[in-house]
Amino acid sequence: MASGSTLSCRNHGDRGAGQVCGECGDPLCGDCSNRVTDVTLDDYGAGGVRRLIVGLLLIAGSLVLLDALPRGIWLALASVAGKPLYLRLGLKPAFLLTGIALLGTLRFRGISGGFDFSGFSIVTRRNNARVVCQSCYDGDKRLQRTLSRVFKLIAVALIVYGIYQSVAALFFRWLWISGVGGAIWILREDLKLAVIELSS
Amino acid sequence: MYQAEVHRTVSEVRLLERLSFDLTITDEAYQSEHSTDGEIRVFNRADDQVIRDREYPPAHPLGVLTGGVSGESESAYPGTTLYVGVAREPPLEQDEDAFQDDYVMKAIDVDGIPEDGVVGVDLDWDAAEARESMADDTARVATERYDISGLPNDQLPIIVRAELYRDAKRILRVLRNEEDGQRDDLRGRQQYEGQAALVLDIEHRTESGADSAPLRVEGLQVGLSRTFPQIQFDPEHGSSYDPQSRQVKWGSRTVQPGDTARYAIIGPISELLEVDRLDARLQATLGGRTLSGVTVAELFDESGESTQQWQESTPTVSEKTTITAEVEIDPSALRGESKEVSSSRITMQTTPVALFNELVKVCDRNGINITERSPPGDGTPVEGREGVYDVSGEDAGELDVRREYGDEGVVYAGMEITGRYTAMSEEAQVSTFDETEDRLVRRTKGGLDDAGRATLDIDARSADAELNSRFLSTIEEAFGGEM
Repeated sequence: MASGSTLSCRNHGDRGAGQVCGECGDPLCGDCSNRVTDVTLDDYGAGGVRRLIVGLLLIAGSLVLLDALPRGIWLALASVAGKPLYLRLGLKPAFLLTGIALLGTLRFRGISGGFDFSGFSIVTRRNNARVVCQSCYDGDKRLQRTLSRVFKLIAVALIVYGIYQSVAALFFRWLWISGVGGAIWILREDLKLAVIELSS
Repeated sequence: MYQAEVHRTVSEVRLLERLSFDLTITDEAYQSEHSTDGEIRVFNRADDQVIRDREYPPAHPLGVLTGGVSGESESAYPGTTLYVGVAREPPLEQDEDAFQDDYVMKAIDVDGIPEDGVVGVDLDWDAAEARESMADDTARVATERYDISGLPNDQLPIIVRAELYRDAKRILRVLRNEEDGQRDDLRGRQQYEGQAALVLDIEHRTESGADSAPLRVEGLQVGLSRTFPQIQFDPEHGSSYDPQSRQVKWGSRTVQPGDTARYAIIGPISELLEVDRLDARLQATLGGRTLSGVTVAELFDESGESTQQWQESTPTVSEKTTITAEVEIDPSALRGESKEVSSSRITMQTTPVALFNELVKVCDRNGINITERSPPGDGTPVEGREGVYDVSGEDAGELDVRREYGDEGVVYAGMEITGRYTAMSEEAQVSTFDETEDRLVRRTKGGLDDAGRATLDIDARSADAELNSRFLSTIEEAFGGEM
């Protein structure tokens, strides 16, 4: 650094290494590095309060607000469609599941400090990418990537299926399935973490 | 973007190598030794967030309710591992077996860190420790040590030399750093007439083919075994002398590559030579350079990204070599004159003590200055020879002397007296009864023809063998030419 010297790639000695494996520390060139979102590298940041408010609003919407809307809105939609849509019955579980999922992603600081809440804060867990070498990638990083893809696929499939069923049959109770998909999407990193923890 | 704790807390990474250099110049030995080692130092300073992360770690509500089982993995949180990328551009040495034009180069050995790789430094904090660091506003230093071996003498960054000059003209030129052949400054020379200068040179060796940093001499401290009123120091500016502790100190100065820092102690030669021991301690630093060629190539966090990707300010990286030189000098070992050595041996039928006393008288009569004297001891009984004592080894008598021959030079000599003797004092007491018989019996028992036999070994040293001969002749003639 001070002298302008550089590291050499562990696998290709004639190439410079601009990165190291974040787990074992081996210097790596671009061709030898794998960049993966690693749940063990997560950190925490602000934005927890906003997420809490959105989550609570969704839950409140499910339990109270949708019922408080004027009945005429639902009747008007039904008259346009020519049949009952059951939209409220579909939105209520979808909102509830999404709201609970959002609350499930929150973390708290200072709740173990007794009655002293001076250090209390709500934070969110943030994902980070980590550079790893091939041998470290072949450990739990490959499993992480697979799990991430699986949960995304399930979430997207459920969201699409719920919407498709609702629109195709004009029977919007199926929206609860999209709600499940949305909740899985929101919680996918936490679910991945849980699987990694349990499997290890 | 990943925000590891080390992004905020690491303020400096320092690669520090140490060279300890010992030089001994005495009559018995002229030797230099050195040892080297190094370490990576990471300066880590806690902030509020460090304490908060330890005292109030983020927790999932389910984790709190279920006693911690919540699928939380904190393995890399809050990101306290720093990877220090280390590269080497090793200075090379020529193999001893190689021919001049057939260079076979080999590297200096470095053990403890990779030559081209990464050293992981764990910089995790304890909450109490972090609080203490913040309260004291101090940085905690994490250290990774390594060994350096095989650094050859010719690659040391400094050369230490000691010389004793007695000629005023020469002293003036040396202190003024003038070349020979320049016009003689008679007035300047006058102040050094009759003086001698003990000069200590610290040369900053020039590195070939590299940008050499200047050597920063932090200070030189010289302790003398004795002092004298006429003592002077050069450079006078920046020096402080305490006659009580007999220590002179010079302050810091900078020495460019190829230049020499020169320090001198000046005084009459007789006084300087009587300083039996001079201990000098030099401390210096060499910035931007390491002895082994190890450098910090880059720093990385646990995401594997280098500091170039960090959002916060990047830590300062520096490389430094500290040099500590311990020099022990016996000024008399630097006498330029003592290049010729002549020896002589005189054996006499007398006791070692008597010979020693006689030798002292001879020196006094002939203007020979005794610089150190140690009379013979009682000796040890000779096995199987009752009443006879052997004076040798530690019991031997010693005299260190100096004889000046005007402009011709000075002879320094070491004289050792060994031998055997019978116990004359006991003999004298017995002889009050029957002097003749008793003496005969004891001498017969001792196996000696007389009261004793003593040998004087002389080593004379000067610039001229002729002077040595003259000195030895003086002693031999004083003892009646008996050899």
